[in-house]
Amino acid sequence: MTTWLITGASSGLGAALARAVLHRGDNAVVTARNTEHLHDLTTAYPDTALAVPLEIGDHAQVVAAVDVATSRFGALTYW
Amino acid sequence: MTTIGVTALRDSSTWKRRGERLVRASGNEYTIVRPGWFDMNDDDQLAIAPRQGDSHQTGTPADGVIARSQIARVLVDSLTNPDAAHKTFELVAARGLEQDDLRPVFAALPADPDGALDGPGDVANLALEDEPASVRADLDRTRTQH
Repeated sequence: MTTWLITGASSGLGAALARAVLHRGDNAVVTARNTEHLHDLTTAYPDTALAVPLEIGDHAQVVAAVDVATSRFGALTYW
Repeated sequence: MTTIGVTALRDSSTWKRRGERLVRASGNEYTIVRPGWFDMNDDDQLAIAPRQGDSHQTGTPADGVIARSQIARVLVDSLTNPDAAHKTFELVAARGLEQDDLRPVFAALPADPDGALDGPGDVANLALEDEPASVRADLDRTRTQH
């Protein structure tokens, strides 16, 4: 199964990318500073979308996000 | 992803042009997508109609428009479709329905020639010798790393 990690997934092109990969049936780890803004995605794709809080400039959060992602879906294919 | 009109000599496209050249020189697999104006397409303007040559440079939506959702689809498909490899194109929409399968769309596009600085048929771009020495050095380093 292909798994994507998409930052800035709460709006704009990030949200569009998340919808595109989820529509294909792929897994998507969708991140944003505020995961409440990702609720629509995780509601529409409860089995394949995983929302993770992430401020991209915070290294510890990046490491934690990848850990959560790989625990849920295994290896990331694209990020 | 850069932008339609990236080869125009505008301040806003300077680093996008340099980025494209570094990607082509990298030896990595790539697709360079130059989208038109986001979400300014009409409701019946859904056919994905890439162009090459970057010849539309008015800096207005007249150069081409495309839905954000279609940009996302093309970016994702480019990563997963070998027919998109080593290609540079402007991404705009034409009147008509969106294609179910983008493979023929990608396959119809000529690839960037080996060693090319710019995309196929690109209008005259900034000559490499007119770039600052640091930019030329970055490009040389990238070329020699593969």
